[in-house]
Formats: sequence, C-alpha cells, structure tokens
Amino acid sequence: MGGAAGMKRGTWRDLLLATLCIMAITLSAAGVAASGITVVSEFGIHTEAWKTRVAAFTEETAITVNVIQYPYANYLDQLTLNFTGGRPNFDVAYISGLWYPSFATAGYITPLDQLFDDPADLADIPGLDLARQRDHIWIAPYMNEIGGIAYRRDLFEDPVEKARFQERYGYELRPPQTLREYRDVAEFFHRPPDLYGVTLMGRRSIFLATHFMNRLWARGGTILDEELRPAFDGPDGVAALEETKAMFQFANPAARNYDFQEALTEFEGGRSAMAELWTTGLLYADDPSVSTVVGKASFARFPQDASAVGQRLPALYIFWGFAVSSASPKKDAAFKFVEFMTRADQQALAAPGRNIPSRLSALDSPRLRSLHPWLAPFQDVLRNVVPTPLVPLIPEGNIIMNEYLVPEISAYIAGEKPAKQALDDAAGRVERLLRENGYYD
Amino acid sequence: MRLRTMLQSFARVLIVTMALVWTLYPLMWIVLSSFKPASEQFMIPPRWTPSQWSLENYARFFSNAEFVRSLLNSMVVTATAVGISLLVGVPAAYGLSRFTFRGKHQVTVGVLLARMTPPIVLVLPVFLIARRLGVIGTYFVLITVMAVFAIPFAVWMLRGFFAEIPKELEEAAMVDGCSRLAAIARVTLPLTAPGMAATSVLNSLIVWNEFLFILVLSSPATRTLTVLVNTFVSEKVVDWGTMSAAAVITALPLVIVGLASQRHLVRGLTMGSIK
Repeated sequence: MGGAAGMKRGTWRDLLLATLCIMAITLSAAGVAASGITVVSEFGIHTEAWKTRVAAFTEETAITVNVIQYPYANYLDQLTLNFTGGRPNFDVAYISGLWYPSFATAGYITPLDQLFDDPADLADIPGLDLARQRDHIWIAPYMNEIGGIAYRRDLFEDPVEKARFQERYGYELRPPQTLREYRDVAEFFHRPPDLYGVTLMGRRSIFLATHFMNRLWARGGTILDEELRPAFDGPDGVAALEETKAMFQFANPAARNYDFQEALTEFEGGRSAMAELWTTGLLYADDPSVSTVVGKASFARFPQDASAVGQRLPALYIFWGFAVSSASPKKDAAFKFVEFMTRADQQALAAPGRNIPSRLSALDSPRLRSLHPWLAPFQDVLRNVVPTPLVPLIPEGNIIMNEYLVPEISAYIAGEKPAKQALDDAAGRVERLLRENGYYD
Repeated sequence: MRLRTMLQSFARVLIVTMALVWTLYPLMWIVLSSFKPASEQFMIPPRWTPSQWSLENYARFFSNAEFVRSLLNSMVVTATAVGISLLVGVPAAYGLSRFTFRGKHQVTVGVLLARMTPPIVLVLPVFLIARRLGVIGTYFVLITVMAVFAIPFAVWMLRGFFAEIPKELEEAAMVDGCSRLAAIARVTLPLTAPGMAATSVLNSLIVWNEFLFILVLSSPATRTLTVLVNTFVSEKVVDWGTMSAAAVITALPLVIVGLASQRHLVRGLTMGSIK
C-alpha cells in the first residue's frame, strides 16, 4: 500500500516536473520578443546587409532586435498566416514592395508618414512614390534595383571590337541606347558557343514577362491604363512581344529554359556580352567566388524605341522595405528601427556586396562607388526613368502578371499562339477579373 | 537451359541496374553538386564531376550559425515523436488486434483520419490552435503534432505484426503463471521487435523530413534541418552548392539508421505483410 502510494507520489511528481519543463520551454520561446522588437524577414542578401547594422541600432537606441527569418519560398505565406492569425509575432516586417498593397488594404500594416515628412525624402528615394497609396506611405524602401542591361565593359571598350563594330554597322560601339542598337550589338557579339550576344530568361516565369515589359515600356506602352483597363494588347504590345521572341536568336538556345539563376550564371561565366537582368546581378558579377567577370561588368538602362530616346520612360523597378505591423504594441520602437535602417549613412555602411541602397544619396558613398563602379551609371539610370513596379500595385497585381500574362507570353514564345491572340487572351482575363472585383463600377 | 538461366540473370541485373540509375540519378547529382564550386554548378554542357573536388559547400553549411541547433532540433523532435508514437501505438495496436469490442472497425479507420487529410488543410487550424495556446515555436507543439501524425502509422503497422503472433503463445505464458502484461512484455513484444524497428525507422523518415508543419510552427530556435535546407533559396538565386551539401548532410543520419537497421527493417516489413 505504502509502495503504491509512493509510486503514485513519484508518478505525480514526474508528471509535474514534465509539465513544468514544457511550460519553461514554452515561456522561454515566447519571451524572446519581450525585451525589444521583433523583425521578420526572408533569407536573402539584402537582409544580411541590414542585419549588420542591428548592433549599431541597439547601441544607439538601447532597443534590442530579434530577427526571425523564413525561407523566401514560404515567406509570403508565413507572413499572411501570421497576419490573418490575428496576432503577428513581429513588430516590423521586411517585405517586397509588391506585397504591401494587400497588407495595407487589409489593415495589417500601419502608415509610416511621420518618417518621411521631409520633402527631400521624395527626391532622394525614387521608390517612395510607389510606397504611397491612399495618401499614406506604407513601406520604407531599403533595397532597390532596375531592370536593364548588364554588359561586359571589357568587350565594349576593346579597341579591336570597337573598330570592327564601327566598320560593320557604321556607328560607334557603346551600351545600346535604342532597340535597334540593342539588336545590332547582340548580333555583333553573338559568337556561339563561346560567346552569346545576350542572355535572356525564357522559362515560363515572371522573368520572361520582364523582357516583354521592358520592350512595352521602351515604346511608351503600359500594362494597365489610368482606369486600370488592360492596355498591353495594342500595336506596341504586339511589337514588344514579337521583338522579345526575335532577340532569342542572339541568345544561347538553352536560354529558353533560363531563370534568373541560370542567366546570371551564364553572364558571370563570361559567356555573354550582355544580359537582360536586374541590377542585383551586378553584385554577384562582382563576387570572385562565383564570377569570372569581376570588375568587367557595368549597367545601362534598357534601350528605348528610337522615337522615344531622351524621354523619361518607365523602367522595371523592384524594391524591398520595412513595414510596421498594425498590431505591434511597440510602434515607437519599430518606427525608430525603420528610421535608423533607412538613413543614408546606415544604408551605405550596410551595402557592400549585399545591397543596392534605396537612397540616391547613399549611392554617392565613395566606399560603395569604389567597390561597385557600376553604381554610378545605375544612379544615373534611376534619376532618369519612371520607377515602375514589376506588377501593378493593386491586390490583384500578382495574379494579373503570374497567372494571366506570363502563361500567354510563354505560349507565344513556344509558338502555340500568335502574338496578338496571346495578348488579347491575357487582356480579356485581366479585364474580367478586375470587373468582377469592382474596379470598373 | 544454361543459356536461358544466364539470360534470365542478365535481364534481372539489367532491370535492377536501370531501376537504380532511375532512382539514384538525382541523388548522385546532388552528391556530386555538393562537391562542385559555385562556378561549375550550371556549366553548359553540364559537367557531371567537379573539375576540382571542393569541400567549400560543406564548410559553408557547417559554418552556418543555425546548423548545429537545427541538427539537434531534428534529432530531438524525431526521437521524441517516434518514441511517443511507439508508447501510444504499441498498446493501441495490441488492443485493436487482440480484443473484440463494439465500434472496433470504426476506431481502426478513425485512427487513420489524421493521415488521410491533406496536411495543407490541417496546417491553418493547427497554427491557430497553437497560436491561441501560446505554444508556437516550442518543442512541445512540434513534438505533439509530429506524434499525432506518427501514431496512426505506428498503430496500423504494429497491428499487423501483433496479429501475426499466435495468441496461443501468450496463453501458454499465462498458463505458466504470467499475467497478461508479463506475457506481452516477455513473449509478444520481443517477437514483434523487428516490426517495431521497421515502424520506428519509417516513422523517423516521416518526422525527420517533415517541412510544412515545422516551418509554420517552429521558431528560429526550434527550426529543424529540413527548413534550414530551404533557406538557401532566395528571391532570385539559389545557392545550389550549399543546398546540395545541406541535402546530403540532412539525408545522411537516416541513411545510416536505415543501413544499421536494414536486417530488422526487411524482416519487419516482410513479417507485417504476410499476416
């Protein structure tokens, strides 16, 4: 009896201990964020950039920062799950500029107007205008890049190549400024299998759509007009799509299956004279552990139609930045964090090798310029284009691009449909979606 | 006759070789990629073997601040969840195979419901419940959820093994003075050891490789290796070399466990299948 009672006591004691252990583990995990703010982000090079300044922020403000990172592929789902769950486990989210409209519409993030009340900010941060909806700024741009041309400076500056080009085409070899020059230069350098004229990304993905958009905008076209009606299936759109396909003749045949990674690898490997990439690609081209063209690459804006040269036209613009959760109980600390990280000095200190600062003034940093000389032409491009997002900044933007436009562009490139039909089909679906969602009332 | 036997052997070897090439090709590619420098990951035409074998990718993965913690987390979550699945699964499977009671069939099928439901359907309610209880990011929630998925598998596997052990053996032990529990412990369980080994290995595979629930329910402190492997994919580029090294390292413990328990595994699986 006494033994049984002892065993029972022992059993209860063990159970109690086990429960206490579980509670301790639970509380220790939950308590991480209690002493400071929590910032959620993806795993990526620009996150690694701003993470290098977290210690400096804590030193300056005495606010500790807990960074939670998720794999990029699942990051948006994870954010959405946290927001819809009602109690996000973070105060600040580092997000793509394409994601904030739906978060802002749902009330998940709070306006950041107080951080950007100086009019000089608008001139200094090209992406700030895109961060504004319904008279509020919702996201503080930190990283930005432009869709343009990465090119081999060593080839373009080679006297022998210059002379040959001059002889063959009758004008000077230079980074192409018009669509015709672009075709000429791609044709000139197209010497397969050792060197291809241009690297393109032909896999059915958003990357393929960027080639179409670049050419559409180079002609002054647009995806949606001011009334949000599809405007990409007119003559400019058809010409842009046909030219997208035509440029593949100067690319590696394998480029029809390229994504950003494969395209970048080809350019880094010195196997193409130009690559239709985003500026981030230059960061990798400057990395000696992966690139054979370190210090030989530079950046130019996407060429324009001859009739539009000199005009300030749209250019593919991508940015990531900080947004503050509406549910955050520590908004003041969160605002301080965002303000600190987006300061020009902090952006410049964080950037080398990992980030392209969103502030034009940060791009003036002599240290950055010496590490990445292509930042100078990039800054110049940024000043002379209309930064235009990869997808329309409405909650349906991603669907319009990824589910309607990309498949139709791919169908045309694969020869399944004529250009006009492919674009009309996409436009019809976009119009239907937006009408059903009440945009044309 | 001899020629016919030789031809049959040759055909057998050929089919097995083709099956091995088919199944091992991607694995071989991953293993070889893990030794390639970044500049050789995407060579055109593709290069099978690296020009210079490099351990750089492994060094990068091992130097990842989260590697040791993620490895330990994988081990803790897998071992505990599989242990719980056996603790619960053995008596449940025994009961379902030995006793007759009302609703037995419904209970047997009901046990499987958690496994029949697509994980993506369950993830949101599980997340919301865990959030409500304040246990997101803890080992407790990871182990509990993994055990919930492992238990039905254990019950169904072990049920077949118990059914194969003749009741008469337990009855003979009881005639010799054993209680039912003693008969189970001394006679039945030792005979089903291969089945338990097979169940444990297969459940370990399921838990070790789980991604979705761990991703959603874990915190950086409790994240396991499968989630860590995925962190080498960023918005535009994939660090294929490090990711390949990570995939090899992640798979290695299970390969070792599988090889070490191969004898039990084969015996256990065979045993369970010929009830």
